[in-house]
Amino acid sequence: MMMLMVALGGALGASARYGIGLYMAHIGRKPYWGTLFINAVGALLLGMIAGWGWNDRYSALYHFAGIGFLGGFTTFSTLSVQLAGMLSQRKYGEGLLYLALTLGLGLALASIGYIMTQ
Amino acid sequence: MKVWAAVVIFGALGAISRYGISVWMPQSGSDGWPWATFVINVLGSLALGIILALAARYKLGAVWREGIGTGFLGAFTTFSAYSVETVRLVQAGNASFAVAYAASSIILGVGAALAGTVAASGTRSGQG
Repeated sequence: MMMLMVALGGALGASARYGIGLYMAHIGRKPYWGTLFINAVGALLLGMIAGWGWNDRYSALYHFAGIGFLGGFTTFSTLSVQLAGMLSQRKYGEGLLYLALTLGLGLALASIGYIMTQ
Repeated sequence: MKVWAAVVIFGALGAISRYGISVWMPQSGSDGWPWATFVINVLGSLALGIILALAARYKLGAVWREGIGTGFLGAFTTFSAYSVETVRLVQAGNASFAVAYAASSIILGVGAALAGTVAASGTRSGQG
């Protein structure tokens, strides 16, 4: 049952992320703006879910939305590969900006989401 | 359509694999270190470096590249849990662990992605 919730959420989260990637390509933006948006929004929402205590109170919903959807929507591997690409192309400024925005927004929004729902 | 279907199916598998590892491996060790997410994110970064390099080298079709890369590995690794775990470490009064976890995940993840890319691209360093 919980496995099914995680699978459904993960399928939806991954396809939403893929759709945003296609849209970024369509409007001619660099892919990492899509990843930044996805990771920042996903961190905010998981912070809210953690603050509300869904993992204790609504287990099935938490498995679907928290572990499945938001876990599948946000991504760490693409972030690593994008940063590695900037490093190997010696785009240090761009890489530093991307890293700072991702960590700054991700951690700040996760905290805000967590604190405001406590 | 085929690529969408691949992302959906592989995305479900990636999320299930992450869930399975997090159930099997303690979410956080007795010291509070979020081992499951840590291992998943570093391994997934290595694997994505490898799969993208292989896809370029052997001209893999979009179904496999997007299915495994965007679907499976994208859903396997996670940034939202990483962020919330870091915040939880801060809230638990373990700021030094929070900094160490946040920094080492990124450094090892980027290092692993670079290593995977170099290993699978088939070009010796200095030639690529």
